[in-house]
Amino acid sequence: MSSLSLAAQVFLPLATCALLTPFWPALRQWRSAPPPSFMPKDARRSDWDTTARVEQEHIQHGFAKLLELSVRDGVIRGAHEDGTAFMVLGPRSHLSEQLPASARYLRMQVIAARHLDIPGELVCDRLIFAQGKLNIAHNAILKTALSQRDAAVGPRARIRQWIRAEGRIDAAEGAALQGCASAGREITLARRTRFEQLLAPVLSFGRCEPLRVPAAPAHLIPMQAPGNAFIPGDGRWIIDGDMSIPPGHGVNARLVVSGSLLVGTGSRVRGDVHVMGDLVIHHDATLNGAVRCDGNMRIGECCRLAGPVQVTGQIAAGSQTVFGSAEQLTTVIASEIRLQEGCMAHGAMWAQHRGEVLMESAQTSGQPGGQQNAQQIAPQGTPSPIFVSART
Amino acid sequence: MNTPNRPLSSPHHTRPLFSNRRPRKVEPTSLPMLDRVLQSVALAAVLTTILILTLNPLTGLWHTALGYLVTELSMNAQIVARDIHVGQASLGMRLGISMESPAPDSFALMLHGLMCIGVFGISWAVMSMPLRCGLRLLCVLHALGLLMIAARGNAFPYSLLDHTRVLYDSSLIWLLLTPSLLAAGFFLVERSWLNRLAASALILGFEIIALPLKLILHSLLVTLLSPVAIPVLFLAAGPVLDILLLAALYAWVLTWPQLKFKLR
Repeated sequence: MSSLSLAAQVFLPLATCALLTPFWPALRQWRSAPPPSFMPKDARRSDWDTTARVEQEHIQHGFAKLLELSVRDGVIRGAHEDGTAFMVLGPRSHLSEQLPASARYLRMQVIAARHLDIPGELVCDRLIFAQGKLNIAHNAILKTALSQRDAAVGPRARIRQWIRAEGRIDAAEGAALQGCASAGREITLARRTRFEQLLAPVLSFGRCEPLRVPAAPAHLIPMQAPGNAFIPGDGRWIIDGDMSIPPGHGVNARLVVSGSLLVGTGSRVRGDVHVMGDLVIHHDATLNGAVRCDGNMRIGECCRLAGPVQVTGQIAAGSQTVFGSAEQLTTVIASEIRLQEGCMAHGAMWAQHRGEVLMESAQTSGQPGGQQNAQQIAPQGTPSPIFVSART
Repeated sequence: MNTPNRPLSSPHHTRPLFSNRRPRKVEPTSLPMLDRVLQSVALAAVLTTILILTLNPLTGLWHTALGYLVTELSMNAQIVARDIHVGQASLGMRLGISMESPAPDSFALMLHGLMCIGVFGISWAVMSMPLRCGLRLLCVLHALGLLMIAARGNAFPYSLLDHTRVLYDSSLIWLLLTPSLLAAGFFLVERSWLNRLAASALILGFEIIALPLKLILHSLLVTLLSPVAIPVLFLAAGPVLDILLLAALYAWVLTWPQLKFKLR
């Protein structure tokens, strides 16, 4: 081993760095933070539906004998090995009769052999289980609730972690379903209800009106690729910048848009859509494929979105909009979901931060479809173009 | 007010999102399969032909660069050049660096053995998994090489000239293969012709500039570390490094946006 000259000692590290420069982008990518996940940070939250099912099986098996006894004896009180108290109510027993008049908090599990009525303004941080229908009165706050039939959540009542019903769940005005709400048949949310995760074959939001068929023209005009499109030949249009689909046009391609996308009234997109900006869908439009939007998404009235929807920002949907179908359940995930009354979904609706059912605008309620004025729909500077009535 | 009033967060508000104008019709930019194959083959053939035709001046350039660097860095080395002839045609020179270096003694072997153990131990604590695994493998191979060299006695089987010549040959073959590999890569991940051309030119340019630098670096490292480092240098910074550099550059150029060439 011998020594190097000063010039060589300087040259050695410099030339090594120059030779290894091509690895710099890869190193940066490797060191950079992973892309933001659409799933909630708390992993437990994604398992709440599974937890509810496990709890249901546990109660059914563990309390089977006590439930049979309660039919004869009325009320049975006891405690688990860990000290958690429970109360098993027979068919003719009522929870309100078992509580003191001034009772506000309930710190025991309640297992009911038949129907169960939760009194108003009661706070319970234990499991509530009913083999029959579960009625939660106004302003009650429950942590978890299970019903083998239907469940009704009263006005301004709140579920803090999860609720599951084999039949249907009806949430009255102002109720809040934090965590996961899952039902075997249907979940109906009245106006001003808030939610996070909803799982059911049918999800109805607000007043149940007969769904109107989208007023699309009989023959859609096939849209040609815009000038800023790159077509790789695999059925995609890669749009560099914004794109707008004029009213009454059909697009038979998968769209990848680096800017914003506007889907005109009555238009139809048959392929998947990936929008890196905002997505604005005017009323009576139909999107048959999956939708991924990295910005906010605004949907007009009476739109149909058949595929899964994944939005980084907010979803705001007008009334009569339908996500998925009874034959093809779908998943809608967004940071914030705001739906007007009359919307419907099939499958899963997941608001990571906040989901809300809005009262239908007085301007748009009950108005029939008709001629659309595009300039009136999306004028510059109008705060909420989608929900302003654009029909004449 | 129960309607969302928050304005759209996208910055694309300078021009109206909505237009009733029918978009102008453009021809699809994608090519049929046969055209794509022909385009890739043509690009590879043209670039390879250009490289072969310019091999003579290229090797002259490398010879000059190596001579300049050896002089400037005060290296006690000589550039050995041998002409390559295919029939009557001259295809440049086969270059190598010759340097007088003492045969590895027992002190150098022991020092390298200790370095192997040290690097192996440090990799346990410092490196993350993929790098750690590669570094340990190199340590094990180097240690095995040291044992073999020690078993053979003073007859060290490699010289710097052989090492740099093999390195030069492998780099030259890799350089000539690069257009074909890039054509295959761009056939799989389609890019515009301007992207292909720019990427190919950049990668070939980098390889052409890197070749003399690599030879000099190897010579300096062999001078610094003793000739027993030649096997591990060849394994770690020889053809494997060429492949990794091409992969890194190719991955980077794929992230480029679509380049457009407009005639005004």
